[in-house]
Order: sequence, then C-alpha cells, then structure tokens
Amino acid sequence: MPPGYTETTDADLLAMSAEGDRRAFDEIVSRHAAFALRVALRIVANPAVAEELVQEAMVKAWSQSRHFDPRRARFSTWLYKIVVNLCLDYRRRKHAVPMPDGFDPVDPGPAADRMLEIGERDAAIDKAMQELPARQRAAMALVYAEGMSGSEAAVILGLSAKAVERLLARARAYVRESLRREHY
Amino acid sequence: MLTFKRFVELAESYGADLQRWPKEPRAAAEALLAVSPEARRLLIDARSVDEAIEAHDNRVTPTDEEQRAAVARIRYGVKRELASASICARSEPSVGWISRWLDVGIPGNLRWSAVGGGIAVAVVVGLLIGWTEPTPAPKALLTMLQPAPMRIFEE
Repeated sequence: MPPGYTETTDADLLAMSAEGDRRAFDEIVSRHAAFALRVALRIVANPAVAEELVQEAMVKAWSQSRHFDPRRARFSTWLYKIVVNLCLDYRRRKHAVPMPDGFDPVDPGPAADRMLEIGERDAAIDKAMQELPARQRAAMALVYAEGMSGSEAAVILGLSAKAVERLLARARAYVRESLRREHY
Repeated sequence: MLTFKRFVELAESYGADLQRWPKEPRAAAEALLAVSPEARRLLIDARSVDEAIEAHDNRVTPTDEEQRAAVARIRYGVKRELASASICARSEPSVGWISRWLDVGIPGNLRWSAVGGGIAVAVVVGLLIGWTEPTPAPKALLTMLQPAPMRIFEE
C-alpha cells in the first residue's frame, strides 16, 4: 500500500473509492474491518456469519460511497451503522424462520466448544448473554466492549441516548437476574 | 444537579466504571460517592455485573491472530466482490442513455417495461413481415446485382 493511502483520511479515501479507486477502499477495509468484526461477532455470536456480514457491509459501503456526506456524519459512524443494521437484520431473519419439529440447532455461540472447559458460572453468563435480544447486545458491544459513549452508540443504532441507556439497563438486569437464578 | 434517582439509572445502564458514564454527571457522581454509602453499595453491586460481562467478552473476543486472519479473509472477499461488481458498474453507461431517453414522461417503474414492450412489438412485426410470402424481385434488379464477368488474361 503506497504511503499516500495510509495517510489519507477516511472521508477522502471514500471519495476516492466513489471514483472507482479500489486500493483506496482496501485501505478503508483494512482500517475498519477488525472493529466491525468484533461488533458483528458480539451481535450474531457466530464468527463465520460475522465475517460474512462484515464483508457484505463493506461491499454495501463501496456501492453507497457516493451517498456519504462527510458534513452529516463521521465515516466510521456511517460504516458501523451499516454493519450493525446488517447484523440486526440477520438476527431478525434468523428468528423469523420457524424451525421444523425435532430440529437440532447448531449452537451458534463462539464459546460453544469451550463450554465444557469453563465453569458453571461462566456457562450461565454466556447463556444469559446469548439470550439477550440483538439490540441489547449491539448496545453492549458498542458501549462496554468498544468504549463508545452512549450518544455515539445511539447514532449508530438510530436511537436516542436515553433509549440506549434503557437497552443497557435491561441487558444488565437480565444478566444479573440470570446469575441470581443460577445462585451465583 | 445529579439526583440519587438519576445516579441509580446511570449505574444500572453504564455500570461501575464512571469513565463509561456520560461526561456531564461524572463529577457530581464522584461527589455523591464520597458521601453516600448507599451509592457506593450500588456501584459494588454494579461491578459484579461488569465483571461477569467482561469475563464473557474475554471468552468470545477473537485472539489477535484470529482477528488478523479474519480481516485478511474479509479484505480478500471484498476485493473479489468489487472485481465482479465493477463489471456491472462499467456496463451501466452503455444502457444509461436508454434510461435518460426514457426519462421524459415515463414513470421510473414503467421505463424498462416500456423498453420490453417495444422489443416485443418489434419482434411481432418482424415475424408478421417474414410470414408473408416474399414477392419475387424484378428481373432487371437481379441483372443489376449480378457482378460483371472479370477478364483475367488480356487476349
């Protein structure tokens, strides 16, 4: 990657991408894919699906690069919004399809194969986290894991800061209650 | 002014780490913690939930190596997708003139139906013309179209 690309701002790289510069867009992908992947993974809880969704989000960002207006939003906010929306759509679709009788679903948790190795308390926490609704998981991923403020997370989720606070509070209450139920 | 009720709400949303809280109430929250055992108890309770969430997060977060490998796969996948997508992007200008031409007076959702209808009409008209028996060409016309004999050797 020539130094010109690595020193260019996200917004300029996206403007170059909109003109068809694929190397400029590759720089964007290399800058933001790791963050996008971590957030996606926490929402969909499946590494392979998270990878697919991030790739889809990047391609979508490329195809919509002409519509990005740097005066209205930061590039990273715009991109993460695409990622989070695709993940929420995925979770919605997944829950919308009823499973046939007797269907034995594959455990989607990335920690599924480690479940036997970890303690019961950890297993109870993981179960509670996996049971959380997608938007609560998304809010937790953005605020707790990635250190965003409630307002930044609110922009990405298309909600008010107050609504994000409520999502976080409900998620924490569920985790606390699950631990209490399991006597931890 | 941070009320105790608001303090509880913030603790229940953002947990025990005040760095996660919105900036404005942080100083007031610290002042409240200094004087209120109840507020301190609340944050101790919140910390246990924080620890549970962090422990889960550490288990599901990919290692640096896993993350690098995943990012490399994503970059490769995006490049491949864009290479195929650019074929479509290049083909756009060749049909773009049709869209612009149809832009006058025809609603967007009917434009390509109009093109399809036009092509269908042209095909039907062509078939009808081909169906009818062709009239023989006049003899004079055939003579005119026939090439003249070429002389290769001069006598």
